[in-house]
Amino acid sequence: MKNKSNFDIEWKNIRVEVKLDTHSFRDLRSTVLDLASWLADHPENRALIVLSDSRITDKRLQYERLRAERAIRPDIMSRLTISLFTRGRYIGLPKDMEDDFVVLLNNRLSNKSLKYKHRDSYYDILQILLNHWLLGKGPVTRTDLGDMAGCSYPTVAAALRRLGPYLSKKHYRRVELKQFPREEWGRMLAVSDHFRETTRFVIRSNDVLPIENYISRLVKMRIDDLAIGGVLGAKHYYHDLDITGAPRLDLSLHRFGKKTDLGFISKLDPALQPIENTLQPPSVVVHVVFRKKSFFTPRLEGLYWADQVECLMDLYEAHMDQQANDFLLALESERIGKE
Amino acid sequence: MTSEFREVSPALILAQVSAAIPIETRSNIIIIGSLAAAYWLFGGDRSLGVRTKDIDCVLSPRLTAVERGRVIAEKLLASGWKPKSMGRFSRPGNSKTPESELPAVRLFPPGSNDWFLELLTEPMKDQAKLGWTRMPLSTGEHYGIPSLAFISIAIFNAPMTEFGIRCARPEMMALANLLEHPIIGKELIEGTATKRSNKDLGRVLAIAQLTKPVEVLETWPEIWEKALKEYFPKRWRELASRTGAGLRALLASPEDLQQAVESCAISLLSGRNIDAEQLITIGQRLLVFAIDQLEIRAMQ
Repeated sequence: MKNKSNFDIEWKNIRVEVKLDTHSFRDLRSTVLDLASWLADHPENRALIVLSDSRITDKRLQYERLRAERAIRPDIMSRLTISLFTRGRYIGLPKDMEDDFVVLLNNRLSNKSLKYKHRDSYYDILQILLNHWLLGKGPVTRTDLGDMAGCSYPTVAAALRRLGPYLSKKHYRRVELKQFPREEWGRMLAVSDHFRETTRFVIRSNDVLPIENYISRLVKMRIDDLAIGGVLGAKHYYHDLDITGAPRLDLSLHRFGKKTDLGFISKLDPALQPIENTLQPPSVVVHVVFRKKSFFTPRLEGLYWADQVECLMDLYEAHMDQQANDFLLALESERIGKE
Repeated sequence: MTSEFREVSPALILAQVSAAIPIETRSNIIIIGSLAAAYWLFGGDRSLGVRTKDIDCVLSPRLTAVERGRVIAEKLLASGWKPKSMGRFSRPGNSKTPESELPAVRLFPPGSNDWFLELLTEPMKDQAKLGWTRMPLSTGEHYGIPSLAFISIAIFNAPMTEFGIRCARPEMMALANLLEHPIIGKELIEGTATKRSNKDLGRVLAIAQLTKPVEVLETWPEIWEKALKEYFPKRWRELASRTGAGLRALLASPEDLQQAVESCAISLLSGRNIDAEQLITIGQRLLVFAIDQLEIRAMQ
């Protein structure tokens, strides 16, 4: 039986298993049995299997369901749903699971598809080089880059070829950025939602909890590998940042080699609702850090601080360009001071 | 569910009750129910009224409940308060009437039918359901004082009001209701199709909705644990671990939740336009911020 963290999505009392390109009935039956067993132990929960782009038809799915109903207790089957995602629409999704839940599901399906087609580590490598350059850490070897990104030597070599004009090559096959790579940075920001698996949440209530309360709740929840970024992170590194309060809480979740589980958000505040609309100001934003080395630094009161590059991306992503530019200038000045 | 209730001002009623009852009995009275919740949750806004018919007064301690209840009832009756004459058990009993068939003391103030005062008391040790205590008056008429299993929880640490009588804490009334309804029971409120559980659990949601700021909910598990340990030293873990069961059942049942919404709309949340979606949100917050935490404490 899979453990809790191995579910694709955990939202409120619903556990979701997303199956990409699954055409095998044996695989489906095995998932049904796994979830039925789990539901037997969790009478207040529900479960959902989503078959995405599967050749299993709706009619055949109904047959499979009837087959399962003969073997599984009715009170368990009534809490287990199997639905199809095909040609951009869901078939058989329970009515009460629509709206905000679908947003989360779409997000996960899209991200899972991306991962399925192998993540491009180029931006991980660019972020590592930026981190080294902005913090004046000096040049880094290709091997170390691969170790920090968690990718192979050829992947590192391909990324460095692409970054060629911005690189300064040093002794012992070490490299570092010559300058801030503005064009590549712009490209990275344009796709950052995808490669950071950004999920935005708004509060479905007029009663808003202060960000400080969210942070203290997160500390108590003892979530591994969770860092604070955004305005708070930037202020931690640069006290003079021209902003008094954070308009939202940016969190970075380190998930190298692990599945992303945002179930902690519904424990943080069940009123938080995922949204797709990037124009609606979110209250909480979660970004995933996939590289092997997170560059997170421990926060005295609990949790971690996301690294400077992550915070900088958060500021730009939140359209706080002036504060982002100031932060970048401050980091560059500090770097020059170290030289 | 009927909507016969008129809006009444918590402060005005408290002042009226306080002035009507003998001064020496004030310290034995604790108001529970919608009025007490509204008194604390509507804050300083005296213009806000609450729709309620019954003003529930708990006589505490139980030991003196009959004696104090008699003093209060006789004083009110002598001052022109009228017994509620409709419904079952509308006439006073006598020494031969079984306790369970005695009418409760339900008295309308002179010249008003908007609300009535009802006397209750704390339960006996290990009392699991509704109980009745005989209260004979000097006239020979017999009344009963009802007690519910978790009234002691509801009145735990009830603070004093400016009117010299105490009003139960909203969070303690919420806990009492949660404990009273670990499932959605079938019992209906007399004369309605509304389940008692839905009304009472709806009140829990209304209290949570009115509690500001919302993070105050996080402070509830501590006092809840304290009260449970005091009144149920041997059973507190068992009770705490099932605190959220009824609420979870309510949130999972659209029909029951709709009854809760309707109950709230004619009571504490009157005029606030709260729908089922908003009650689900506050219910989920209450579970995560308070009830789950109490249940965790029970497991430690």
